[in-house]
Amino acid sequence: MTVILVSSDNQDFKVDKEVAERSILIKNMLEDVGESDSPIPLPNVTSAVLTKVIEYCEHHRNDPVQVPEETDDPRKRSNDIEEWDMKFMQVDQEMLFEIILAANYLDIKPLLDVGCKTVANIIKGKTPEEIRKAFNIVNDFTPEEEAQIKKENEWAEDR
Amino acid sequence: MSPTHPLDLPEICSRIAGSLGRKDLTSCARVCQDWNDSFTPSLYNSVVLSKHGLSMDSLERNKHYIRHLVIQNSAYEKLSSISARGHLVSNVMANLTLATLELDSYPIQYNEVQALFEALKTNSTLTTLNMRDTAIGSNGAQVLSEALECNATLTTLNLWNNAIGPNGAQALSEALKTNSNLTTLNLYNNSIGSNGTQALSEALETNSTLTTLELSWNSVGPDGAQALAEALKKNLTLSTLDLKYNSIGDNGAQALSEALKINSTLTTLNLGANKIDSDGAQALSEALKGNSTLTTLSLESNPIGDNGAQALFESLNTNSALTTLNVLHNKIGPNGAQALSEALRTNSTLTTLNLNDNQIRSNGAQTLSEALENNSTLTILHLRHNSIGDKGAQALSEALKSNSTLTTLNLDDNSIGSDGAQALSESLKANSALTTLHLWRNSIGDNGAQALSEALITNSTLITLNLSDNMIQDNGAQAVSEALKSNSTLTTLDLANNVIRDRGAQALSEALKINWTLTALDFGYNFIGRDGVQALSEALKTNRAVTITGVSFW
Repeated sequence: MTVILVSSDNQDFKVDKEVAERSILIKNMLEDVGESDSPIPLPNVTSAVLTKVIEYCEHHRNDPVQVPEETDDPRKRSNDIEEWDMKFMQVDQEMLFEIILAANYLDIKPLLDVGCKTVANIIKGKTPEEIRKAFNIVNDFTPEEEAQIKKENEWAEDR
Repeated sequence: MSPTHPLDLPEICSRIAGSLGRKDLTSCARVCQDWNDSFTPSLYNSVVLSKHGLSMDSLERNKHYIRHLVIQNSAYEKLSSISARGHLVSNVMANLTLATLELDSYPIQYNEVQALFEALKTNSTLTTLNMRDTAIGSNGAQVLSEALECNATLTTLNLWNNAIGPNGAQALSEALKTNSNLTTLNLYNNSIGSNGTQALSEALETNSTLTTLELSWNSVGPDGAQALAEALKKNLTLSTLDLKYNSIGDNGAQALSEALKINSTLTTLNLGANKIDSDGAQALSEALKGNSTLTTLSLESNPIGDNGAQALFESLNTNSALTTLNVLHNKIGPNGAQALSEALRTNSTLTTLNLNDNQIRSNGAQTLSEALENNSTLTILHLRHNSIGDKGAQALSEALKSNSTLTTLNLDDNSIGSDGAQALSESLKANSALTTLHLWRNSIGDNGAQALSEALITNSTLITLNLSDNMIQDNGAQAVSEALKSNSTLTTLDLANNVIRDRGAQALSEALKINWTLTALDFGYNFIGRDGVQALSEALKTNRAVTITGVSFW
C-alpha cells in the first residue's frame, strides 16, 4: 500500500506506507483518518528535504521500531553513527539543519538523533571562534561579556 | 534560510548537548548570545564544583537549571567565610530543580549542617543526598533526622564515613519510624555500634519503605546482629542488608539464620569479614534449607573452613533460591570442594560461585570437575589462588569438554604451568560456551602460550583472555600473534608482565594489521624497546579498533 506526501512546494511523493510510517506524525495521521488515499500535505517540508528524508526512511524501513534510551549519564552516551548514516549526513549545513527540523516536525526520532550527533561532532573539540567559523556565526558579545562568561563557566573547563 | 533555526528549539539543543562534554558546552556558551541562551541550561544541568569554584552570581542566575550538584572539598575551601558557605548551601537547596546533591570530603560546620537540613525540611525536589566524609557526627544526624520527619521526597541517603555514633543512629531511627519515602540508607563506616544498631532495628520492625540498608564497618557486633535478626522477623520490605566488617561472630550469624527461616523479603545479604566460623556457617546452612528468597549471599573472608563449607554446601542440595554465593578466602580445602561437588550435581539454581583464595588443591579441582560435567546452571566460577596445579587444570579441562554452560572461569595464580595450559587448550577446541578465561600468574611460559594459540585458531567463543605474568617470551608472543591472524572473536587480551621483547612486539604488530576484532590489548611491563614500539605504532596507523595499554608511544 502506498501513500502520497505533498511537499511545501506542491510536489507529490508516492511512497510505501511502511516507509512513510517511519514518521510518527504521518503514522498517527494515517491512523486517525483510517483507510483513505487522500494526499498528506507537509507544509513545513520542501521537496529537496523531503527527498532526503524519504531516502533515509527507505534505507531504514526494516529497522525495529525502538525507543532510543534516554540517559543523563554522559558515560553511557554514544556518538557512534552508522556508516550509511554518516554518508547520508554528508550534506551542506543548511540541508543538515533542514533535515533536523524536518525530523523533529515529522517525529522521526532516529533521524533526529543522527542529525544532532552530526552537529555535535562538528562542535567537538573546537574553540568558540572555530565554532563560529564552522557555523558562520557572528560574535555579538563584547570582549568583556565573553570574558565574564568564560570566568563563570571555568568550573566546567577541567572536566 | 528557514524561519526557524534548529538551535532555537530547546528540545533539539538539549539533544545536541547530550552528545557533548562539559568543556565543549562551555565553548558553545561563548559562541554568541543565542548559543549562550541555548546551551547554558545543559551546561548547568549537572554541576561539579571543584578547584575553580563557582561565582555566587552565576550560581544565583543558573540555579534553576541544576539537577545534579557535586560540591568538592577544593571548591568549598575557596569560600572563605562561614556565611558564604551557609548561603551556598541554602541557596542551592532553595532551587526547585535539584534532584541530586553530593557533598564530598570536607568537614561541614554545625551551623552549615543546620542550614542544609533546615532547607531539606521544605525542599520537595531532592531525591538523593550523598554526604561523604563530611563529619556531620551524631549532632548532625540528629538535625538531619528532624528534617527527615518533615521531608517527603528524599529516597536515597548516603552518609559514608561521617562519625555518626549510637546517638546519631538513635535519632535516625526515630525518623525512620515516621518517614515513608526513604528507600536507601547507607551508613558505611560510621560507629553506630550495637546500641545504634538496636535502635535502627526497632525502627525496622515498623518501617515499610526502606529496601536497602548498608551498615558495613560499624562495630555492629553480635548484639547488634541479634537485634537486626529480630527486626527481620517482622520487617516486610528490606531486600538488601550489608553487614561487612562488623565482628558479628557465630552468635550474630546464628541469630540472623533464625530470622532467615521466617523472613521472606531479603534477597541480598553480605556477611563478609565477620569472624564467622563453622558454627555460624552450620546455622546459615540450616536456614538456607528452608529459605526461598535469598538470592545472593556473601561470606567472604570468614574462617568457615572445611567443616563450615561442608555444611553450607550441603544446603545447596535443597535450597533453590540462591544464585550467587561468595565464599572467597574462607580456608576451604578439598573436603569442602567435595561437598560442593555433590551439591552441584543436584542444584540447578546457583549461577555464580566465588571460591577465590581458598585451598581446594588439585584434589578439590578434580572432584569439582566431575560435578561440572553434569551441572548445567553454573555460569561463573572463580578459583583464583587455590593451588590446583597442572593436575587440577587437566581435570577442569576434561569437564569443559562436555560442559556447555560455564562462561567465565578464573584460574589466576594456580601454578597450572605449561601442562595445565596444554590441557585447557585441548578443551577450548571442543568447548563453545566459555567467553572469559583468566590465567594470570600461572607460569605457562612459551609452551603454554603456543598450546593456547592453537586453540585460538579454531575457538570462536572466547572473548577475554588474561595471560599476564606468565613468563611468556617472544616465541610465545609469536604463536599468539599467528593465532590472532585467524581468530575473530577475542576482543580483550592481557599480555602484561611477561618477558616479550621487540621480536614479539613486531609479530603482534603484524597480527594487528589483519586482526580488527581485538579492542583491548594490555602490553605493559614487557621488555620492548624502540623497534617494538615503532612496530606497534605503525600497526595502530591502520588498525583503529584496538587500544594498547602499558606502552608509551612517543
